[in-house]
This record gives sequence, structure tokens and C-alpha cells, in this order.
Amino acid sequence: MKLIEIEKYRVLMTGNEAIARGLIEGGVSVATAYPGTPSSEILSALVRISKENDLPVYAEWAVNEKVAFEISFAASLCGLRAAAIMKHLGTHWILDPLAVSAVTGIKGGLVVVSADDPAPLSSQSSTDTRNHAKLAHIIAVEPSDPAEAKELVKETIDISEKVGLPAIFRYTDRIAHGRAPIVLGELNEGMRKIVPNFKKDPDKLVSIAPNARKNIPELFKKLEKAKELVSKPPWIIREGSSSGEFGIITSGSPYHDVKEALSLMGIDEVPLLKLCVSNPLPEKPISDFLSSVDEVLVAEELDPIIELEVFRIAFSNGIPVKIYGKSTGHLKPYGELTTDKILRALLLMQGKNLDSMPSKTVAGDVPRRIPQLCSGCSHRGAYISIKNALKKAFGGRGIVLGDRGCYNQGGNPPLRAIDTAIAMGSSIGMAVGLAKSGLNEPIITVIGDSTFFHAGIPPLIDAYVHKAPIVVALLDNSWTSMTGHQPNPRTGRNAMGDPAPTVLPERIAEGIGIQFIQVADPYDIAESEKAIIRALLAAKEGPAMVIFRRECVLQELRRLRKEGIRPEPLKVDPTKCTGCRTCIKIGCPALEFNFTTNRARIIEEKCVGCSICAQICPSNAILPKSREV
Amino acid sequence: MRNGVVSIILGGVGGQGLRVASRILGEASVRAGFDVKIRESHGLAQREGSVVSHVRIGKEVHSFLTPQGTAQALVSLEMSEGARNIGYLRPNGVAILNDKLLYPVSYYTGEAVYPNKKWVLSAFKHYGAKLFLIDAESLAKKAGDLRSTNVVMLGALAALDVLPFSSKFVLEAVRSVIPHSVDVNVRAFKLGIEAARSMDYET
Repeated sequence: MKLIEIEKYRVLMTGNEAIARGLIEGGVSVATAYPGTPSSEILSALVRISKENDLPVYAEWAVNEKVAFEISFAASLCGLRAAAIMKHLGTHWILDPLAVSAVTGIKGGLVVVSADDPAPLSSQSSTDTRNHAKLAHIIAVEPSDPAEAKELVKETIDISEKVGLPAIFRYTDRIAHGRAPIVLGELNEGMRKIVPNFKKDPDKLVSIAPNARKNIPELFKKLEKAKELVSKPPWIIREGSSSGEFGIITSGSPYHDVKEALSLMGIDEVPLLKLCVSNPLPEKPISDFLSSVDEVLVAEELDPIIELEVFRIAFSNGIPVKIYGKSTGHLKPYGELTTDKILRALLLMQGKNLDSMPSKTVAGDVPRRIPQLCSGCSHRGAYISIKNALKKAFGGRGIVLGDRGCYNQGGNPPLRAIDTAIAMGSSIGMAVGLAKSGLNEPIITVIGDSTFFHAGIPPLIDAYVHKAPIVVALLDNSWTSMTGHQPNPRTGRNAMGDPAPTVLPERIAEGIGIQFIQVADPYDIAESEKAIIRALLAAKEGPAMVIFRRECVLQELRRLRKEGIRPEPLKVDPTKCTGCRTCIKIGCPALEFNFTTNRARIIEEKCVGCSICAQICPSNAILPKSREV
Repeated sequence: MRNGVVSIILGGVGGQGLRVASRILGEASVRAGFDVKIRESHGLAQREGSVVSHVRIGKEVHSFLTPQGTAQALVSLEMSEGARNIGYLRPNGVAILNDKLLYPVSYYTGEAVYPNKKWVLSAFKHYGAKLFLIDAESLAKKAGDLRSTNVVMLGALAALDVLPFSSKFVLEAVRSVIPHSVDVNVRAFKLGIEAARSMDYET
């Protein structure tokens, strides 16, 4: 989406766009990422801004987050400013090199932009990545809104470079996808004129144990320096009265919910301490604040990281302040914080009853609208084929292990096609585990192309070496679709929009030594069923692989639309339809059912003519629209 | 509201143009000199999920989220999604519903009992909302493109004195956010205004 400039310097942007702009204004010249909601839109915005302004920025969709981090780390060692962008789950993959980069130190400012998902809205868990900063002994920054995110990410790059430590820039879904007016700043072109210079320094950069032992105390000295630097604005801001009966310590987007709650209660002048940093925490300003109030509520999102430090600081300074938050049950260590939750905590603190709080009324009565695979999605064909194959050849027995991607929608009713969905690449390792546990059932894993390249190759080697009798069904649609169609090693294009070499998964499988590899078109149910049955029979002495290959239909449609082509939709012949609803049970958004006439109907505008429903209709009642009935 | 913030909740189903609608309101707010914060749902646009946007306008807006029971208006492109978000609306708040009900797959498979139109209308009546039921799809078709349904709904909102600025800012924002089909959308916007002005709300 192109940014629309309304006034000269006031532009409505999402937090992700604002962070991209901030990274550019902060002089970043190498930016890497692996797509993951809610972080996915940063890198493409960054590419767009650098192209529009003709800036020499290298951007890359890396094969996974660890590779992304290592590329940016190396750029930093050359003196360039660099960023690695990912969702919270991705940061778990980088902890090994991240912790070492703290020990070795860095040169150019290095920031890991990590999008947390407290609700969660698009994640399998809701981890708080501020913990990683404590683990690796690096700086953790958190902004409260898109405008602040843009400014603070620049400050983060500066402080990282000044101290010589990487920083985690932790923000949340609400900021990522929230839109607000942003004031644009200078693009910092001079910063990108730095000539890369890798200075050999084996005592630091060859981080073997003797060197690490020497360098670890250095790391803590750097952290002390950081602590001094963050003891003032913009890292820590005091608002409201200078003292009072109770005060609030807050960070991240809950800051704004606190402000809103105080305003609703008519007590705007309550003493407030806003922290934009959670590691290292500036001790003196916090102890001063605690001394100025009798009671304090700590409002932060997810884990009580600041809160526990507040307890420690109060205790070690002998400050008799009563502390409320997650430890006392006034707030919860999960879910997004909202104004309502903070109002509730404040009323509880004051010993008031909560009857005046508005509650949700009808909302709970409307059943959830369960997301489905898109109309024409090739994964639907793969799932139906797997189900049919297990039914026909194995009496319906079999475990289907899913992985992470769009194809998770196939786990929802009515398709209910997968039995697990854990973490990137987990399907194959868990399949080995089921087989080695002695489970006597067909075992199939379902994994997308991007996920396979990200984390599926090591477990596939493991499965081969240990002769695990499993079938790996690779859903190869050439794009990282779930997160908005980023290119991956199958696509033939890179983040900069230039042509790129492609990698074929079957070549990898062949190289490993896998004997049975078959490519099938998931739009052809009969062929796909056969491929799965043959693979299951072949997988007696090791893994077999079926590659379901068809480009993501949304990308295909996008291309066809440019050429003015609209695929022919299908229609239901009402004289043949018996109302059995077999087609309805595949969960296609283009199909609906009329309970009055007892007939299925195809919604023409939504149908892309994939013909999967026509192939499974027991009465052959579904035909191309142009065919005469 | 105490802090002078106007909160609009936009509801609908993926693909109905909700994000464009919330962006138009955002751009209009900036043009009119206001602060604004917009929270949109992401990722389910093509996947038949519920979508909701919070648009909050004021001199200074803090939270992205509307506290329960405080929104001045609820605009829903689909009726049951209106009911889903009714708790955000303040009593006596304005509810503008597109006269359209989209059933999820779970209704057709028989796995879920889904609200019908009568149920949704009685929910709003029970809640005490000022309800405007608008056949926005027909008006959009009349304007020339079904895809302008979202703009018809914004026209209706602009006619009802909820926004803290005049409808001309919204129209300017429509032109700037959807520059490729200005004529159709200007017609759609005006049809929305007329529709809302011509009816008394139902309670």
C-alpha cells in the first residue's frame, strides 16, 4: 500500500511502516527478515522507502530468522548499521548467535525488531521476547505507539552502537497493525556512505571458551554503561504529580490504556512512570518514584518483567510501597492489556466494587466465524487426497502432522485434516518420534515450501538416517502465503524484486538419499490420492515424499487479472444435486447451501473453477458454468 | 465522552473493504486536523474470518482500543458481525448495519446455529441502539460498483453527526484513498448520505 502524504510531514502509517521508516532514518543499510505476523510488512515497506529515495539499502527475506540475524550481525561487524526483523517466535531461533554477539560485541548499531503477539491473534504461543534481552544480557526497548516506535527505533540503533551491544526492539501486534499520524524525518543518507571494514579480532570473534571467559566481564561493563544512558528521556519519562497516594509504572502500549483509564476516572494527575526500556532497568529513577507514592500498579504486557524488578528495587532500598500487578492478581500475565482491564485493576486497588464496569452483552452469542482455506486453494486438494487415501487403503487410520502456514486453516472444521500444528518444521521431527515410539499407524506430515526450507531439512535428514517409515507431503505453492506472499527459495524472486535462483525440494530429498519422491497436482484428486497410497506403501524402510505442486491461487489470479483473464466458475446442476452436502464439507468459501430447496449453490464471484468440488461430488452435479444443463 | 474521543467500530467479514473504510476515516481525521488511532484485524482478509477496526478520533487519542460500552457508532458491513461487536457501543449509540447476512461454513454444515436477521435486529433493539438498516449493496450497485458498499456505509455515517468534522473531509479522503474510481465512490458516498438522512432510526 502506498503511503499517502496528507500534510507536508504528517502521514497516516501503520506501526510496521513507521518502524521501516525509522530504520531508514536511523541509517540502517542492511535489513533482513523472515516473514511472521505481526512483523511481516516492515521489510517490504523498507524496500519501498529505500527505492523511492534511491538509497543503497540491502534487504533480504532470509531462509529463516537465525540466518537473518547472522547476516545483520556480520554487517554490524563491518561497521554498518543493521536490523533483523521477525515475529516473537522467530527470535527463539536466534538465541544462540544473539547471546554470542553480546559476548563478542558489535560495531555498527544492531537491532533485532521483534513483534510480540500478546493476545495471541496469529501465533501458537504468546511469548514475551523481553526475556531474551535478560538472557543474552543486551538492551531491550519497547515503544508505546507507532509514532514513538519510529523515533525510538532510531535511538535504539544509536545506543546499540554507542554501547557495543545488540538491542531487542520489542513491540506488539497493536502497534504493528495500528495506524496513526507520523511526522517524517531526515533519511540519514550520510550514514550509508560508510565503507565496510571487517577488522580481524580473533580474541573476540573466535568465541571459544577461553576468549568467552575473558569477554563476558566486558559485556557486563557495557550493560552498566547502557544503564547510565537509559536513566533519562526518552527511555524513562515521569508524568503527573510529583507525589501521591498511588502511582503507576507502565511500558509499551499499556501506557496509553493507562492514560485513557485515568482520564475516564477523572484522575489524570496520578504520578506515572513510563519505561521505554526493560533491560537494563535504570534503578535510581525507579526507586525515586517508588519513594514518592504509597501504592503502585505496574502495568506491562505479558510477563511481569518490570514488576519483579520493582519488587526487588523497593526491597533492596527499604521503600515501604505496596506493589500491585500480576503478582497480586490485579492484572494477568497473558493477553493484551486494555483500558477495561486497567480500569478494573484500579477499581480493585481502591477496594471499589466492579458492578459499574460495562460487560460484553450479545457478542458471546454469535458463533465464531472460523477461517477457511481460500476458494481454489491447492492445499484443499492435498488434504482431501490424504483423507481419501487413508480411508481407501488404511480403513481411515493414520496420523497427519501439520506444520506452520496457511494450511493450518485445513485443521479447522469442516475439513479437520490435521492432528497437530506445533512450531516451524516440527511435523517431521514429531513424525519420527511417533514412528520410533512404535505407533503402528500410517504417519503423514504436511509442510509448506517456506517452512520446509526454514526448519524441515534437518529433521528430514534425521528421518532418512533413522529409517523412519513416514510420508512427507510437501505443499509446494512457491510463496510464503500466510504472511502476505513473501518470496522464498521456490519463488525465483528476492526481497528487492530482482530475479533469483530457485531451489527444488525434490533435489534436496534426492541429495539426502530418499528413494520415493513423487510430484503431484493437488487439483487432480485421483492422481494425488494414488501418490499418497504409493508413498505410504513405499515408506517401509525410510521416509517417502510427495510434493503437491501448484502455485498459490491468489498469486495466479493476481497475474491473470492483469492479463484481463477471469477463470470460468462452476455451477451446480439442481436437477442432479441430491443435497448430500459432500461439497459443503470441504469448507470452500464459494459454496453455500439452501436449506429450503435442499440444494448446494456456487457463489459465482468467489468460484475460481478449481473443480475440486466437482471431482468429489457423488452425483456429478457440478459443471463448468458454460456447460448446458 | 470525558476525554473527547469519538470511537467508531467497523465490523464485517474479510474481503468487504473494511480496512479501506477505516483508512478513509483515518485520512479524513488527519485532514480535519485531528489525532487518530486505528486498530485493524490482519491476516484473515481472504479467509472468511471476522474483521473489526477501531477508529478513534480526538484532539489527543491514547488507546487503540475502545473501552466496552463507549463507542459513539458501530458500522457493520454484515449484520451478525454488528451483533458480535455490539458490546463496544454505548447505550443510545448509533448502529449502521448493512442489510446483509453472510453465513459461515459451519452454518451450512449444520455444526453451528447461526443468528438470523430477526435475531440481530432484536439484539440491537434490546441494547437500545439507534439503528439504521441500510441496503448498502443495492445502493453501491446503483452507484456503479458493488465494491463501493463500504463507501455507502461511510456516507451514512457522515450524515449522522457522529464524526467531529464535516462530511467534506470524508469525501476528500475517499478521493485520495481510492483514486482509481472516484466517480463511482462519490456517487456511493452521496447515496449513503441520502439513505441515512431519509430514515428515522428504529429502536
